Amino acid sequence: MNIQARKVSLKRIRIGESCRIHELATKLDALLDAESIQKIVEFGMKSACSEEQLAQTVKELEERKKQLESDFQKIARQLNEQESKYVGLRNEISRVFTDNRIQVFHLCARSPSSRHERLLRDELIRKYIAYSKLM
Amino acid sequence: MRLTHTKNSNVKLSVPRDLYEKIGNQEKIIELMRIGLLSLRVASLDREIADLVERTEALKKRVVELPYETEKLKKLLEEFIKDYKTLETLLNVRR
Repeated sequence: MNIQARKVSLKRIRIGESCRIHELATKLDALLDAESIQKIVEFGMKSACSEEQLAQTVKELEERKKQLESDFQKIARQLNEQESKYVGLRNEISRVFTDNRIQVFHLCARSPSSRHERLLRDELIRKYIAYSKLM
Repeated sequence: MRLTHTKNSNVKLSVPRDLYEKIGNQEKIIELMRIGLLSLRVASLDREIADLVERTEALKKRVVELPYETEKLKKLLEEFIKDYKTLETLLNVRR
């Protein structure tokens, strides 16, 4: 239940000099109403670490996160280059495939003049009809 | 209340009076708030890092897989180009 709703008596305190509270609350997008303050303070009471230890841990984690973000960007750039190449090839395949299919249609309209030509023709017709179902 | 848009020097917070009386002084409350917020920040950073690691691994996996898929496409393209030449030959022969 909300503390304000229960009409709990409040005490106003000044935190003007404690910049870290502003900074951390902003980073966490944390509310600082009476109910949230109660939870934050209780959380602080349960902590087994000192403020200095926690500050050091936060610093280390922020550095690790920064490094990971940098690595992520590098890999993303590498992947982007590879994908451009992949998409380029796929488009080229699509273009050549369409050209071939048109040629096969022309070939269908003609009679083969030799056994070899018939075999090639039949193979290409089969292949492009089969591929047509896939592409 | 959010502090994002407030001036540091004049900020006051409303603390439940029973909590204030339990802890005893303003400085201790502020210290506990800092510790509480730092603990929350540690937990938040842990989650963000775990998420980043997971997303980075997924990218790495794709970076490893993609060259094989690209190589397959290259072979398919070579095959289609070969067919194109064969078709051209067959159609020219018949013209």
